[in-house]
Amino acid sequence: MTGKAKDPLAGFDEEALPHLDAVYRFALRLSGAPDQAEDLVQETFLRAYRSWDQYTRGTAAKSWLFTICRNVFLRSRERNKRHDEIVEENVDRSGAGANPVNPVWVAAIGADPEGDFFDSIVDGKIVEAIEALPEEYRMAVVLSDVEGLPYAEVAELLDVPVGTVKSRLFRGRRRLQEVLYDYAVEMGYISERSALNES
Amino acid sequence: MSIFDSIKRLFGGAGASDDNGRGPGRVAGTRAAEGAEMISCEQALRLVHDFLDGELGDVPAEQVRRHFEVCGQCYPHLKLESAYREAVRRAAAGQEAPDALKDRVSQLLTEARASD
Repeated sequence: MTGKAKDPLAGFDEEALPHLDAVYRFALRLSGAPDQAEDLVQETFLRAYRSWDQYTRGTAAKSWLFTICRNVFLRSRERNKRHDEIVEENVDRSGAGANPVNPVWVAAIGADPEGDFFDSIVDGKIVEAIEALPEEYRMAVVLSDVEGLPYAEVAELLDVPVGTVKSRLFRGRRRLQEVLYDYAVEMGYISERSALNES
Repeated sequence: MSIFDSIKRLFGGAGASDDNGRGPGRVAGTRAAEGAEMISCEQALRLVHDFLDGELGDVPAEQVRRHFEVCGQCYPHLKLESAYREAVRRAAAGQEAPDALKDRVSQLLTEARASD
């Protein structure tokens, strides 16, 4: 299946270009720098165009573009090696052995069981907290919670098993929730409660 | 559609009361009260992410939904988890690429097409 037969850009315009904003966001979260993200986006779309005949029309274009973007990023990073914190994943997959009771929620429930404090946190602070996550967690959270991709697509994109995606999501979410909750307490959006008193 | 709308929709099935999730029928710690198909609080909390992500696999969503519907201890965990997702999506999913970048990509593609 190829969209290149008549007008090589026709299918591209319809299926790939609408994801430019999403690819930019993804590139921004990958690189952490707007100018680098812009370079990544340009390279991604150029490569995507050139390999458009390898894409099956009507399938997951966004994931496909994210995959190209990530590959471009990883290759460029290889050149000037600077690894993020390595997340150890040997304990358990998918958080199965972890405590299912989220201590952050236990602390929050007494004062704000609806989670209204999240509405008071400005977008910039949330984005900052996402960007501060270790890369492995950040990618899982961005692809799942921000872009809404299913676990299987995230797994394929990151080239890891679904269990690893779930594990990274579990840890990344908890870390992000803790940071945002602490910030909300600090700002007075929610009053701090002792977790011990709430159980 | 917001995550809260999704939850309302999930809870809006046949026979569900329209209490917005906090009706007087809600009870705490219901793990054995609803019969064999009722999952425990621990199971429900372990499944909360898969439930919200629509990734329950073989686990019937109805079982998980039922638990959160009637368990006053677990329901806030679902609400807080949803509020977190709503906030993250609101904050990060609306960010757009700069217009100048869109123009550059468009120009690059035009040049690539011209050289084909």
